[in-house]
Amino acid sequence: MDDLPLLELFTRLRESGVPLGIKDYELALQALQAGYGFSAEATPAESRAALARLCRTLWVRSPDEQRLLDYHFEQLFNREALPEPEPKPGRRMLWGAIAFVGLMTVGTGTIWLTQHQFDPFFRPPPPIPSPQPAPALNDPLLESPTGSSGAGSPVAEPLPAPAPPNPDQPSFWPDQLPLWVVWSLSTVMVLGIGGWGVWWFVSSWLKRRSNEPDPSESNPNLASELLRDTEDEIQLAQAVRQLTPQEAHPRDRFILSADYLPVTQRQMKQSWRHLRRMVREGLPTELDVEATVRQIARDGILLEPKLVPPRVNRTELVLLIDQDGSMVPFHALSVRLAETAQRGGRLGRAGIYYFHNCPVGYLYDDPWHQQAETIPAVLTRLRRDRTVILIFSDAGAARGGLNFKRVSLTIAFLRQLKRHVRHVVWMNPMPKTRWAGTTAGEIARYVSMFEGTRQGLDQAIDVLRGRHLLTSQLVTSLPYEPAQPYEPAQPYEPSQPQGDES
Amino acid sequence: MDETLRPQQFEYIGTKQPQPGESGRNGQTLSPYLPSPELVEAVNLAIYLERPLLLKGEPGCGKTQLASAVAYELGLPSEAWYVKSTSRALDGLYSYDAVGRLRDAQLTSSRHSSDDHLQRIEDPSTYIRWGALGKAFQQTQCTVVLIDEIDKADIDFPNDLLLELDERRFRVEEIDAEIKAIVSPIVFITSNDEKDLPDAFLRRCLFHYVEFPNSTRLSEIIRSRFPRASQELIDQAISRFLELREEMRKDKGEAGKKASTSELIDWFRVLHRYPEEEALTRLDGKLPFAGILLKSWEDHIRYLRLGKGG
Repeated sequence: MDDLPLLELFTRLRESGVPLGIKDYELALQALQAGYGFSAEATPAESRAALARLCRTLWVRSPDEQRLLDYHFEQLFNREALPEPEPKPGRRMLWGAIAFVGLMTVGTGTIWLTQHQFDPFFRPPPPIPSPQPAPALNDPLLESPTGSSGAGSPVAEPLPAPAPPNPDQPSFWPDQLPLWVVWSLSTVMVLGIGGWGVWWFVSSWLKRRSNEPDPSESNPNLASELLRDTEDEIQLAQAVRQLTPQEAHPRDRFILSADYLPVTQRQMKQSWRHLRRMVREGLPTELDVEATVRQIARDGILLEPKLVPPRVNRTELVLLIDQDGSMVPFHALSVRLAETAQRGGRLGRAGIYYFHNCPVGYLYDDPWHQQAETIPAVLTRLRRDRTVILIFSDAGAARGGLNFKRVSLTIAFLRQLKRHVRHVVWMNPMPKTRWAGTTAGEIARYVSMFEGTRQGLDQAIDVLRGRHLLTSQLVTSLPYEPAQPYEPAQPYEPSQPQGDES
Repeated sequence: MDETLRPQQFEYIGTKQPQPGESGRNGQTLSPYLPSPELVEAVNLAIYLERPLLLKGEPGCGKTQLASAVAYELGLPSEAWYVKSTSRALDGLYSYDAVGRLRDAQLTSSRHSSDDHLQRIEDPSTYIRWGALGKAFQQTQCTVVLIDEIDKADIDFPNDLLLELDERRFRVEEIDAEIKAIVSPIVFITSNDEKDLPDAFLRRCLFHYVEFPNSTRLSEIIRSRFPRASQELIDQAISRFLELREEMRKDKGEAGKKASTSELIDWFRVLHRYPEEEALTRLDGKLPFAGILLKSWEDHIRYLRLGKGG
């Protein structure tokens, strides 16, 4: 059991953002000891599948995480399992050797044939039949083919023989060979070896390719979907790593990663959780024990129990998302923001609207700017006492530069907005250091603007809850209505938040 | 984790099926349930590790049915807690009838009551109504608890259950007592994935995604439910059904609402009422009894035309 890379799998999953604890690992061990996850008489493939099922049941809580697990499991355990089909490398070696020997034979055959065929050409020069100096002279030349072949070729044997009986043999002495023959010989050898190398490489590559589809075929949509998920978390780490030194010299460096994801999905979910404002509303159905007791004390008898409306979350979030243009690099972030807000159940009756650069006249229901609605139409639908707005836009900070027209248009929109909702907050995916001197810097003076980081998101949500008011907001000369941090007095007698549980 | 909590280990096999018309301990009619081998393994793992099993999957794929099937096979009592949008975590443990006690107190003070009334008031625990988990914790026998559609409640609801599910104990504030599970129950939690569940809660659960059954399993399911139906009718109906489902999957993707197993069973029940000849001819033409399978006007327009004849 120890040789299973379970811990490695566990660590990888944790690094990918799956919320796992030591307890989960212990559970897996406990289950393995109890006999789950493997069986003695099963084939390796079967027990691998059983182990995968066990891990899936214990460590995975959503189809997304399941894909993550399948991916890592496949990677870890199939790598382990690869040496298992042993015959393949052996056979490959055999074929390689056969091909090599074949090529050698062909090579030497060519030499020999050349020798034979071109004998007439060689005959005229052979009048120098001194065999003695030949071995000494030709040793280095001979070594080159035999040395590389490493195996005694049939040609090498007759060489040391000082008196060859074959009449053709003397003509074979290399000193009689013209240079071009030597060259052609070595070319043939080089081509042969090179060709064999290429063949070996291609065949092994093909083999690897033909092996690969097996795992991916079993989960056809794994690769693409999983990549999105893993990229999310892994790139986050990269992005953060790249960004940390960047803060020192904000203008020196570009953001290198494909996605800029300073907040993970999980962190977003956690942050959205705080966005709530519990208000007693609706029909009075809950018993207010304290008020009832007080009533009894006053009247001397129970006339009727005091009831209060139940506490419900009365926050309706509207996301306004800047789409396209300079926001393209941040689309992944905005999609995630919208997704988590929606699934976190925080949007209430309101929703998500899109705009480009600055909302002028219209807001769009879809990211592709197809379904337009006039801004007043959207605003009248919002309920003033419940709605909070989060704008996600770089406000011109990504490109830099100061555009006064954009500033004034944005401020006009913000003023319009603030008359219809409780709180407005702006999230800027660009780091704060990049706002100064740009349109974003100007806009930030009129609205609470935060970076697109975890802290930024948390602060933004604090503002939306009415917990946090920037002094700049109070100081500005805007006809800004006095903020209402908390809900006005309720029509019933306030009671302890916990006291009325029963 | 206390190993002593559960004296005997149960093992779910998933083969013991109730006879038609047999009813369970709580009086509900039981129907056969054919779990996949993976599901059986997950159930056994949950029983062994004493962790709740979280079941997700398409609506109508039998998540809720599992609890009663397990309870039936293992011969255990079962408690169900159907979560609603207004449910609070406390509801599953107990609720305290404060109004009732107040009323009784008033009646006593106005001398309209007898002595045993007085005794009743003296004992505050008489006003406690136990919820599903509360009952299960106090049973001496292992109980199967179903917490159905946990995602319907407020998003903080699952977090309020952490201690109860983890350590299997809770406090009753009104009588200042702690209830600790005598035997830890087998807990099944279902979710339709409408809201994300908090990580802290997920961490304490085992997870299983109930897959849509393949055609052989579908045919087994139908046969177990309708033992008198002919194989030809079953095959025809299932192939027609899968055709429709595949078409829906192509159009709507994985996330859209597709016809489910439970709808297939309802549909087949209607088909089965007709003589076999007639049912088969109906299957050949326009999709019969489409109202059972198609739940929106768009679906009606789009898929009703899908017939064998085109």
